[in-house]
Amino acid sequence: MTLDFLTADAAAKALFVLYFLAILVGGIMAVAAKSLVKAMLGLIKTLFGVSGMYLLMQAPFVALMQLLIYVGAVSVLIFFAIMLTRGEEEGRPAMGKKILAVLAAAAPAARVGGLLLRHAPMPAGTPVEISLQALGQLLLTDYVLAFEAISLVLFVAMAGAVVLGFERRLSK
Amino acid sequence: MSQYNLALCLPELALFGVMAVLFVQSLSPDGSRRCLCWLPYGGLATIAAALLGINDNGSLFYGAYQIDALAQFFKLAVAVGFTIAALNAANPPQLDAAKKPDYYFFLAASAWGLMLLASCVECITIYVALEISSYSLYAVVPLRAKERQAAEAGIKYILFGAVATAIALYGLSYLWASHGTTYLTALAGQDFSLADAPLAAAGLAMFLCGMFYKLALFPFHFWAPDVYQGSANETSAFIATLPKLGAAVVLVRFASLLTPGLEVTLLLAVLGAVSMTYGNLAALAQRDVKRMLGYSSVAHAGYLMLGLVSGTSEGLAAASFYALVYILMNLAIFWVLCRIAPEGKNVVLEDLDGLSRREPVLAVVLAVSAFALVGLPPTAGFMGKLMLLKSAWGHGYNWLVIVAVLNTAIAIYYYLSLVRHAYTHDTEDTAPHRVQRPLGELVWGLALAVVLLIMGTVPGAVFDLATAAGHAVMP
Repeated sequence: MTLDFLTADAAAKALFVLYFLAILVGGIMAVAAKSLVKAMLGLIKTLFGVSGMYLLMQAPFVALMQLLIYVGAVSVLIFFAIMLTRGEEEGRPAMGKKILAVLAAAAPAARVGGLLLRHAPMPAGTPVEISLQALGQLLLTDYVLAFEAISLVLFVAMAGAVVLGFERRLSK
Repeated sequence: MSQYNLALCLPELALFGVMAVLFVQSLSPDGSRRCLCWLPYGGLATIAAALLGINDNGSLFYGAYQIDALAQFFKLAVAVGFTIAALNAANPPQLDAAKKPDYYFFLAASAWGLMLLASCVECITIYVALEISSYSLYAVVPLRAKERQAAEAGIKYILFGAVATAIALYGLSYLWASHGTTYLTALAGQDFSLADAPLAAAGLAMFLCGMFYKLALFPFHFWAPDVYQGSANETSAFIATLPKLGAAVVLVRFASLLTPGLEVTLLLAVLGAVSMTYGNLAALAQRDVKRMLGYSSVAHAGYLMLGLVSGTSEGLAAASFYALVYILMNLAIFWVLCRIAPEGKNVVLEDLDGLSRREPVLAVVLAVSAFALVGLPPTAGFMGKLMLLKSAWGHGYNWLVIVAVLNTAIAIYYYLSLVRHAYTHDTEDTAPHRVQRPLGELVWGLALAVVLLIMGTVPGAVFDLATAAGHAVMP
């Protein structure tokens, strides 16, 4: 048996479907799971799928960062947060509400999906890898303001977390 | 190094200085006990810097940051709004004393993000600047001692905000994919019609959704009444006003990409019409004044769309002018609410009973701001609305003008019921005693009312600034 049918194109398509399924299943798991830990596992699955998509787009650096930062660091942090806080058991939303929520999400998704199916431009050729140097060059020229302003976003977010965290401690 | 000419960023630098001092103060061990009375002067310095740079022009950071009349006008508005909001929150009764420097730090950071937003002409930078402003507010909303509502408001604000951001970023990816750029200068002149560039049109609409959320335009208005009601009075005064400026400036910049007849323009018009009608009808039924103002802000977001759909520089000027008037009217009415709120609790309509006897000065301020919110002459609200209606008439959206006028008639009822309660209803107790207040509180309140009246009778100088702002993005 030969593997001739396994061209690069077919392999890419198969991988795309695989990553797509990982993202979708993970997302549904994250939303629908009853326990927070299971929801987190779903989120991690999604993040893995996204990093696979980056690999397909010839962006190995971004894919690695996705794994290192999101799967590696952020998820562990969230696990710690789940461990350290005791969430109260919340009532499940009523069935009617769930159906409405699904409908509300599906309506715009169907509109946009329809548009995409009819009009999305097909990618031409194989993607080319952008060198790290070029990426860095862009970050420090065209996108320098956004790049620097992100540090302020992080700073404000951290300060906010500290202030609210102390709030909780004091009120108990 | 012309890409980094900081002399063009005076207002931002001034406000950043305020932020830095507040940050140091919040870290120093006895910082909370130290006086924060310098803050209004910091605000005044920011206003002075904004006035100084009002005629600046230039482009910084490789074209991502545009200093033009529109940006400078909105920076001035943000500086004015921040100063008044900081004065208003001089002594929040429901805030832990130890948290005061942090609280002001977040308010300043949020205002700083909005200033940045006023100048951004590149979509990713716009997004990041908007996040600076939002994250600071996320931290501020739950800061209200012993109120469960505040935590609920905080969660709602964050969750709705996150969803709106996600939609906006998703839209940006479409925009980027179809036109290959995130720079507004490059996007100008591109095709945004649903027939020829469907993905760009959908992407633009989705990106604008992020701004609609900040503006509390239907159908992204759910958070407004709940968050206004749940957060402390001083915090809602800030949230009700300044973030709208940021959304307005981005919408004005994007509206210069649109022409009447485009599907996205039609979307703006329809959402505007639904928003004003829904906001006004829902406000009719409210007893909690802050909740009522929440729905009123939904309606005002709709009015703002009048200026954006016409596709003329007059329309953009009218929208900019109205955004400024809007924050002044709201700061004035919140000024009264924050003063009369018993221990920082929420104010219901009945709390206003007999206000004219107890506190005649505050009653006058309330009346002026309510008249302005309706849009009655001779207040600034009338001028702003007149310009909006005039700019939209004759550009294919006459139906929207008619809807807006009808809505103004509905709005008269609930705004004037505020005045009715203050002037004609009396409290149960027989002898309403006059309340003594610090002179400063009354003077500032009156000053706001006077500004509203002056901008209604002689709006020339401010309107010239707004006109220049409109011409800056659409010659």
